[in-house]
Amino acid sequence: MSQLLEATFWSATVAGGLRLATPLIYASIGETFAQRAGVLNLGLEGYMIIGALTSLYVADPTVAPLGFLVGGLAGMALAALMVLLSIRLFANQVVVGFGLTILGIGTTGYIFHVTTDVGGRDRQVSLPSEIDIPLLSDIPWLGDAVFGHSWYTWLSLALVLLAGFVASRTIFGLEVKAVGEDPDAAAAKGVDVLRIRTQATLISGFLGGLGGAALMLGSVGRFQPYLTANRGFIALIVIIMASWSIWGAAVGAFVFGFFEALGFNLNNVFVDVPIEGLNAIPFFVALVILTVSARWARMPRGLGENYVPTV
Amino acid sequence: MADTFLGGDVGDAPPEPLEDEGRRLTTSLSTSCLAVLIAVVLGGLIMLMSGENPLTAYTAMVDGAFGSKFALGETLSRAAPLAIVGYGTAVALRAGLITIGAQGQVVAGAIGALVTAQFFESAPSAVAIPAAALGGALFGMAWVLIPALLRAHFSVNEILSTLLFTEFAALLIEYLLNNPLKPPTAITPQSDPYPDNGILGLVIDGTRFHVGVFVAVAIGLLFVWWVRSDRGFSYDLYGENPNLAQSLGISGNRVIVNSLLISGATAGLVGWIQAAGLLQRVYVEIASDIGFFGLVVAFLGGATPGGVLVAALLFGALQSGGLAMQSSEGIPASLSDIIQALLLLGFSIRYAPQIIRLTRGVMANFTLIGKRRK
Repeated sequence: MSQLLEATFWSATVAGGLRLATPLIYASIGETFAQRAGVLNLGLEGYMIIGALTSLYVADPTVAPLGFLVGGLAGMALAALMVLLSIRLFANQVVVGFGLTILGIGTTGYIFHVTTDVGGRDRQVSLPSEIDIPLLSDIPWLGDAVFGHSWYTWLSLALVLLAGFVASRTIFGLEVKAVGEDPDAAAAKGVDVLRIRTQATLISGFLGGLGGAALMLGSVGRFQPYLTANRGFIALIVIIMASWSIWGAAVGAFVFGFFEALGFNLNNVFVDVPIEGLNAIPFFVALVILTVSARWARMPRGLGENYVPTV
Repeated sequence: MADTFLGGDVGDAPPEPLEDEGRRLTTSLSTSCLAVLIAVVLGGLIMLMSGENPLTAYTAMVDGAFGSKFALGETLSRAAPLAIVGYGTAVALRAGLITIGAQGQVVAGAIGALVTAQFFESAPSAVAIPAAALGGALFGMAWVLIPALLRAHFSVNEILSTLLFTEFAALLIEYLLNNPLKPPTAITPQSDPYPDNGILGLVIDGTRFHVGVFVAVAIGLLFVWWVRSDRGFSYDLYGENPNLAQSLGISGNRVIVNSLLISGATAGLVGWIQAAGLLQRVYVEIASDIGFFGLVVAFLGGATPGGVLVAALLFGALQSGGLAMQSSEGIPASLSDIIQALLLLGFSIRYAPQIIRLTRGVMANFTLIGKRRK
C-alpha cells in the first residue's frame, strides 16, 4: 500500500501509460480524420494488425524506420478497399469495416504461418532504446515519467501537433469537417465529397498501419495472431470520448494507456487481488467514459452514411 | 426480371417487404454465386502466391467439410452455433442494433450452464439439461443487460459497450478457470468435466454431431415465427423507421432492451451447447470466434431466416474444411478466415440495395454516441 504514496510508482505508471498509448495515438488520430469526414472505419483493427506484421517483415532484414513506413503503407492498402467498396460502390460502412478487420486478421495469420517454420527462427526485432532529453530527463520524478521514451512516442506526439494544425487550420481540414457534417451542402459549395472522404480514409489507413507498426517495433518485437487485441476498437472509444477532436483523441489514448499501466503496476501492490480484475480496470474506465461522454459528445452528422452524388 | 414474374408495374412497384424471400432468391442467386466464385478465386491466388497448390487445398477443404460422416458432423457442429448466434443478432439487427458482444455472451452462457449443471449434478437428466440451458441463456442475457440499458437510456453505442463486456467475459473466464473452477489436478486452465447427467449426447457415433445441433433448428423455427409475428413486425418497423414506430405507440426503449436480451439469450444457449455437447468441459477459448462470425453470418444472410441458415452452413463448412486442410496439407486454416472475409466484402456490394434497405433501419437508429442530431 505504501508504494502508492511513492512518487516513483506514479512516474512509472505515467511513463508506462504513454508507452502503451503510443499505438493508440497514431490509430485514433487517423480514425478521427476519417470520422470527421463521415466515414466510420470499423476496419481499423485490420489496418493495425496488417501494419504490425508488415513492419516486422520489412524491419527484420532492413531497418526499423523503413519497416515503420511500409507498415503504414500496408494499412493504407487495406483502407483502399474501404474506399473502393464503401465510398465508391456505396456498400455499408459497418459491414465492410468488419470484413476488413477479419481480412486483416486472416491475412496476417496466414502469412505468419506460411513463413514461420515449426521450430524455425521467429522473426523479431530488438526494441528501440529510449531517447533521453538532456537536462529535462534529469528532473527528479517528472523526468522519468515524461522524457525517457522511444522515437515512436516522440513522433506520435509530433503527429498530434501536425494533425491538430491540419484539422483546424487548413482548407483540407475544413473540407473534411464539411463533408462529414453535411455532404450535400459541401457538394453544393463545390467540394468533391468523395475525393475528400477518400483522402481522409487513406490517412486513417496509413496512421492505423503506423499504429500497428509502432506497437510491433516499439513494444512487442515479435508477431502473434490477434496481436492488436481489439486496440482498433478501443481507438473508436477514445475518439468518442474526445468528441472528435484531435487533441482530445491524444489525451483519450493516454488515459486508456495510463489505466492499462495502472492495472499492471497495481498487481505488484495488491498481490492478493486477481490479476484479471486489475486488467479489467482500463476497460471499466472506458465503459464509464463511453457512458459519460454520451452526454456531451456530438458526432459528425453525416457519420456512417454513404454519400451518393446526384448527377 | 423478377418484377415481370410478379406481374407488377416496375415503375410503381411498392417497396418490397423485408421478408419477401422467394423473390430475393431469384434475383440474387446468380450474383451470390459470383461473389462466392470471386472469393474462391482470390483465395486461390493467395495460395498460388505463397507457393501452395490451390487445387489440392480446395480438394482437401471440400473433403474435410463434406467428404465423410465425420466431416459432415464437424461442419454441422460448427454451423449450429453460428446459426444460433446469427439468428439472435439478426433480431437485434432488424431492430437497428449492431451487437458484437455475442462473443462474451457465449462465454457467460458457458459459465452459467456449467455452474447450473454442477448444481443439479444428482438430478435426473430431464431436470438437469433444461436447467443448464436456462442457466446459459440467463447468463447470456445478464451479460448484455447493462449495454442494453445504457443503449436505451443513455444512447451509449452498443457496438463498443458489448465489445467491452466481451473483454470482461474473457478476463472473468480466465480467472475462474485458473482459480475456483479449476480442478486441482489440471495444469492448463479448464473446468471439471461437464456433469454426466447434463451431457448432450452424440447423434451419430464416431462424429462430433451432438444433440445440441438441433437447438439451432429450434431457434431457426422460432426466428421464422418471430419475423411473422406481430411483435416481430413492430420491432422491424422500429428498425426501419423509429419515428413512425414510436408515433404508433411502440416503445423504442423496450425494443432496444428486448432485442438485445434476445440476442444475449441465444448466445448464452450457444455457450451451453458448446459446454454440454461439443467440448463437455469449459475452456478459456470456448467461444473461439463464434460471436464475431455469428454477426457476420447475420449480415451475410441479410438477417432473414433462409439467408442466415445458408450463411451459417457455408461458414461451418469453410471452418471445418479449413482445419482439415491444415492438418492434411499443412496450409494454414487462416485461409478460411480470408475467404470468409472476402465473401462478406463481396456480398456487401451484391447486397447493396438490400443492405441499404436493411441499414436504413440501422442508420436511422445508428448512433456512435449520444443522440443523432438532425
